[in-house]
Amino acid sequence: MSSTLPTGFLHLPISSVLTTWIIIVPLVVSILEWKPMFILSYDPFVSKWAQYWRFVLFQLQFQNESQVMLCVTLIVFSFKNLERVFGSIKYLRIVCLLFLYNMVAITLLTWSAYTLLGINIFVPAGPFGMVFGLLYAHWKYTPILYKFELNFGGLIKIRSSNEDFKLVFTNDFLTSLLAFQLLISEGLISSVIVSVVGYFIGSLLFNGLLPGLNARISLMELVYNKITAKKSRTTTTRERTTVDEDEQADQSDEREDTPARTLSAQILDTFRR
Amino acid sequence: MPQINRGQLLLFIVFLTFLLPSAPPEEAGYLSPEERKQIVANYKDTISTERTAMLSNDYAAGYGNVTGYKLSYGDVLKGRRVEDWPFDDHTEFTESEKYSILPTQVSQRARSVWEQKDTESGVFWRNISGTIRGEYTNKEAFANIPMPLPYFYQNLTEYDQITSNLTNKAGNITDEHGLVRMALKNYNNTPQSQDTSFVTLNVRISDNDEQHGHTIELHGVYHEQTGNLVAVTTSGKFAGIYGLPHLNLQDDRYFNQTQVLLESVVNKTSLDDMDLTTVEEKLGRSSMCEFIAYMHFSSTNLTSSELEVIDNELATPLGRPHKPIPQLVASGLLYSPDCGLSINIPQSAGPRDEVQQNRVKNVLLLGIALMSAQIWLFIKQMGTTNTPSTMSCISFWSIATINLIDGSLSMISLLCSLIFGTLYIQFAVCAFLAFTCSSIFEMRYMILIYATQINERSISWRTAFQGTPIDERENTETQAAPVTAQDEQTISGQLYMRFFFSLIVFSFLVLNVTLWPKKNRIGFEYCIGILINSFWVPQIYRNVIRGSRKSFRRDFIVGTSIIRFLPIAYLNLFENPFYHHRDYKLVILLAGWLAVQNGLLYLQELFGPRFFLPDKYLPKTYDYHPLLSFEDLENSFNVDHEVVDSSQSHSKCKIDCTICMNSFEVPVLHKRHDKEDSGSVGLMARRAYMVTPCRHIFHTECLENWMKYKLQCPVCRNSLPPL
Repeated sequence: MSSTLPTGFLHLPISSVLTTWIIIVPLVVSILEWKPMFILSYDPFVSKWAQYWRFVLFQLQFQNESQVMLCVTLIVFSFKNLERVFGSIKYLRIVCLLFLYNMVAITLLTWSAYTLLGINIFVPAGPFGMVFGLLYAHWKYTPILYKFELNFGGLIKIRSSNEDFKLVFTNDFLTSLLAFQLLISEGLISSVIVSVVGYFIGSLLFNGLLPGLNARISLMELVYNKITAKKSRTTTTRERTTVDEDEQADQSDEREDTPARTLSAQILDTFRR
Repeated sequence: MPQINRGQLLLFIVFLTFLLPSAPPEEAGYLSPEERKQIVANYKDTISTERTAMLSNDYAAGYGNVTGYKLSYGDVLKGRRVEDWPFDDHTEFTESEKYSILPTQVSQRARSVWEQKDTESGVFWRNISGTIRGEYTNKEAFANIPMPLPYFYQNLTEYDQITSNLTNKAGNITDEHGLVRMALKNYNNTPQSQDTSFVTLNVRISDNDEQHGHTIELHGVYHEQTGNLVAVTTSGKFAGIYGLPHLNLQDDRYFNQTQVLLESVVNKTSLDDMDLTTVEEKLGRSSMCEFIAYMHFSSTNLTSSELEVIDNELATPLGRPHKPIPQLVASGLLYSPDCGLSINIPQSAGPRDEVQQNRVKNVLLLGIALMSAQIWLFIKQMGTTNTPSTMSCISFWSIATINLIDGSLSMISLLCSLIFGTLYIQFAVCAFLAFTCSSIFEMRYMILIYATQINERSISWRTAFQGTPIDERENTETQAAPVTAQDEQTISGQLYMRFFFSLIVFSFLVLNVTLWPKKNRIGFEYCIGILINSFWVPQIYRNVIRGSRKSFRRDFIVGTSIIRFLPIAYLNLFENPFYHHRDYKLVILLAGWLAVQNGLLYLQELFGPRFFLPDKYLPKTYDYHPLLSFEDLENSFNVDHEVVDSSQSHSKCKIDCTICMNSFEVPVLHKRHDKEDSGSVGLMARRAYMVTPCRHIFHTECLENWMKYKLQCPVCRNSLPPL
């Protein structure tokens, strides 16, 4: 298994759909001025106005552009691996399960916090929980490629022992950095609560404590198969009609080429050598 | 250090000496700095006296020394002069024409406006920011209260112009009936002023045909608990706002609240900030009639808490569940003391600003959807016609008309996105899509079409119709000068320049039309409506000229027609937020016109492009499948032919197709006059080969494939008439 993924979303349909969704939906929502529909707090939306649909909506889009960028970067650089690890159908199932479990968890959490403790939790719009659930899976299933350490030996000495003061990083530190930024993007309370809940749900799900990871959801698979089958049929017919032999040869050439190195890959490569 | 050229320096000095103005000569009428200072000082004095009068006088003391309020209506009837102010018999102020500038009749009517009973029993509006529309009647006339300008304005240049123009004043409404539009803006009230808030009114009054209009700007106060409003204009000759507390009709808490509120309002402008421009602005406004407005806003059908939810939701949308938002409904009167007008506004209504914006937003969203559909249609259309042959069927001018509309839509929505800040996103998206559609897709398409058709321009009409053989042409006419080769870049440069020029002209024209009187505007709408919806006419014409059946995709034709028709139908058939009048005739006319064009295009496809024209008016299109005779072959066709089979009427010859290099059989008549009875040779046999005007013979399949790419003979490059 090579350490670099093929460029783009080749054979990763779910990741590409997720990325498109994360980018397109906020644009459409802001053109329609529906932004206020995606925020949630128990009081007054649910307790006074009985707007239960907010529990369904709030995870569908990030409201502000920096969160969108962080989320897209995480999907493209880190979570893309997960689709390769699990396969598209299982990955889709995981995303759906995380959505449902997060919805239920946030509903229970806001309800209990409000009725039992009298605390009104503000839930920011965006799939914080899902992102952090996937982050758990990412840390669990993606192997570390390399480590590197920053040695501050000349500057700081640890007093008790004679060792140098070192910071050890892995190739994953960029993911952690982005996730941390997303974690605190809505302040130190509201986004942190949702994210921690999502991470917790992720740990339960991927350790088998929440059901559904290996269940077959026939409806979802049916839809998935239909869509992908249609797509592949159209592509094959198109190839049959228009692509002549030369072009096919060109395409196969391209595919065999090493993927173009992106900027981040170039930066990371400097660490590798 | 930069080198300074001596010549440049000299030029610069000369430039300075001529450009920098010396002090203007005395007789030119410019004010000296001392005079300016004097005028501003006098102005400040007046303002400060008026402010003190407004803030310190109690109700009984009357208006005090305030410009424009010195003469009461009673004084005018008695023939008193402003110079004699104050008058001894003005003792304790009450609302009657002896003390007030309102005639008793007007103040009585104002009272009845303020005290009218409402049909709904709910609370009154807290925030009346919105635009209401209605009609007015202007019947009664009163004596004019003279309002001379204070003496210190005399030295200003505009003074003579303003004082001499007494009859034709702006705001001097002469029509008996007409339309009125009031744009209201409500500001937050201060805690001291309780339920009284500051309001600005922009009143636009015009006659029914919008031939002459007047715009009046008033400032006033709105009392939230009674739904009442009083507002005045302010200018150099009438310091309206400083008499506002006394215009509350009686000595009650509203007098005090108005005083308190105005104190905070007028104190926002410090006296030190006033300079000559302030004075000049006040003087400029003095050319108009002054107005005092009394309005009453009908109560809503909501309770206090329901209204509060609505107000909050409109200010900060969160998705609160709320009752339907009622319209602002108001009635009232406008009284002009110096022009003696009393204008009655029986009832006018309109939405709150936020509601209006929401409506416009919804319309814009639909527009965005239509625009996206148009782009999608264009992509499909361009995908279908991507060869020179298919593109040469398409009329350049059809696309150009469509493009002009889309382009000006993008310009206008870009302008609107700057003007209407609250709808910025929607307008910007609209502008972006229209720009993409017009400037990227349509423009690209136009360039391609132009480039394909540019060769055709050097061909004479006759050739285009008949495909005259090359040698014949040389005989009849001198060869036209060869067209200089134009690459796509030159063409696109030219086209873009023309496009943007016409775009700017058209957009400004359309923007200008919105200010025209109603009748002219309607006339323009009919003209331009028919003109811009004639975009298929060039295509029909081109089909006829070229003799081609197919041009655009059928879904493109129908789709584009619908996309362009829907907005017009909406504006003219339904109640819309742009307050465009209903006009069924225009819609029917345009729908019919578009249907006729669509129908013609369809029939052309069915029955041939020239089915509606008698044959004799038209030269025949070139026949690619003529019957050949041996005489032809020997005379002008320079081909090797080998007779393979001979029957009674004709023989079969083998000829090589120069495209595929395979031979094929051509039926050849023995004699030329046999051509009349062509029945002997099968139609299908004739369809198998094609003969160009330059007398080269090919397989039909070979030549048709070639003609998709180029309308030139593959052998001699003579131009070919299209299929």
